[in-house]
Amino acid sequence: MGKNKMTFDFPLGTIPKGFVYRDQSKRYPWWVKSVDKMTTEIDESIWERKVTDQIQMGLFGDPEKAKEKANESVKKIVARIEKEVPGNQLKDLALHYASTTFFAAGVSMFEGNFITHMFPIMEAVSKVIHPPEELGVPKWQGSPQEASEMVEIAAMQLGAAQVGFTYLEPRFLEHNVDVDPTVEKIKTTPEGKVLIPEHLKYVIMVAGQAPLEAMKHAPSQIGDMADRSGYEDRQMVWFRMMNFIRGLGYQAKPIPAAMPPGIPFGLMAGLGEMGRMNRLISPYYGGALRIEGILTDMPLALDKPIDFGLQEYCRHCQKCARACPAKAISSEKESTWEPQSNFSLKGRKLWYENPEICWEWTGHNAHYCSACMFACTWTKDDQTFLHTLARISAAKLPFLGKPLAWLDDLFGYGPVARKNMGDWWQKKRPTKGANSRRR
Amino acid sequence: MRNYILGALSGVAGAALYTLAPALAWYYWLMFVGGCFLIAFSFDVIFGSLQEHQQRAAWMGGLLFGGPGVVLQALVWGLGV
Ligand code: SF4
Ligand code: SF4
Repeated sequence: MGKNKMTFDFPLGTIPKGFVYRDQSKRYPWWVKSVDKMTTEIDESIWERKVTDQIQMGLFGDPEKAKEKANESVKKIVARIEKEVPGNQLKDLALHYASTTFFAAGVSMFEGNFITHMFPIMEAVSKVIHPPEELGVPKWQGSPQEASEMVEIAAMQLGAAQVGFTYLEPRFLEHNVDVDPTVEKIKTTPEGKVLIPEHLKYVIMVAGQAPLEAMKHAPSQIGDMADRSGYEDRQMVWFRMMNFIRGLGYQAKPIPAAMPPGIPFGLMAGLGEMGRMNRLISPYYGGALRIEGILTDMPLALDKPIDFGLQEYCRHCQKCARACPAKAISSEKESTWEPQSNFSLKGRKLWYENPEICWEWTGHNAHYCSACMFACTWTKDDQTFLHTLARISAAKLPFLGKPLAWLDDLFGYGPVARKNMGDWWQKKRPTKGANSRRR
Repeated sequence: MRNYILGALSGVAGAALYTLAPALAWYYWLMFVGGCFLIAFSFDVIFGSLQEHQQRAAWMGGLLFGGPGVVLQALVWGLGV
């Protein structure tokens, strides 16, 4: 794993000086605090940066073996169709694959690794935009505050569930990506190092929301559809927002990497806190978000990290660990500095999830799982005030995590029973996209 | 809309209670308001949960919040009036 050797004059995970910040007082309800430091503890002396190649190796292993695994998965999928397993019939499978039309465009779903295939699509869709220089008009001008407000409204309209702004922190980037004041454009050196120009110093974080009702049907093809829909919605808003920024006359680029590191930027932009399940947990949507970042040179007013008591709450709740069919999530009460697998990174105090076990389960069962993300007690719809009451209680009395998780079980929140997985088609009211009135 | 109707019904019930028992002790009024609140909240949980396809949450909400609300109202209307 590559270690970051760069030094900065402010501790990692805290908000830097020299930027303008948005007024955070109206961003969230009163029970979500705005803070100057992310709630996950960081030890910079042992901080490791992400290495996607290794993660992809973990996901897909050697290509021959990956192919074998894919063939086994196909057999399992076909057997379920033949046996008419609820939630796993042909219509369910077709829905799942259709839900990932743009996310996996141009790639066979049996091929597996479709992450890098989205870049040509990104290039193709950028042609829609005619930037101001082409029209002969000046680029959009406004204060950083006005820019952030405008970008947020546009993103919500274009499908984002949540939006946040932060700065480009090089220590969060992949091991082979750095900020270089001498380059004008993102550039890859012959040694494979990716250099980002200094002016792309603002990061817009956008989030797509997985459809909550369908998520309850994991693991099944309906649940897989929910998981992929979250990614697809994120991808749509991500591409659209890059075009929006270009349309204003500014640059907009994805964070370089096949699987860009999103969570630390999401934490700094105050989209949520890091939960026991090792995913970003939003105070509005729990684990149902899929996030992505955009680098831009458009001056923005930044957001700050948030604290809604999750670090204490997760100590007691543990619902995701109980829900995990692979037992990949820690059930230890305390978080630790010790990574739990070859693909976990040092330098963060976490309840480390073991991604190898998670991927193994996924491969073996031929389903994206996402049971933890749905089971999280924060992953809720907004049709009753009960959820607001539960959120306030969890945020303000986080030591009550255990009884609150118990109540969550008592009220029947959790996965739909296997035999009822097919009922989704009778529910008549599939929800699509983000309900942006929630924030 | 649901909440407006529940608010209006609580207002009508309060007016009826005042007409029937103008000298009602303060703790009965407290129980009446608490009962109204619990019943209104149970409706919110029942209908909201049904919209979310959470049947168990619906009847649990009805039982845990509506139940005590009905008991409080029974005490007020049975003993106070
Ligand atoms: S996705 Fe499934 S297997 Fe993986 S950690 Fe979550 S619950 Fe466990
Ligand atoms: S289910 Fe509970 S323990 Fe797990 S991330 Fe959500 S709040 Fe934390």
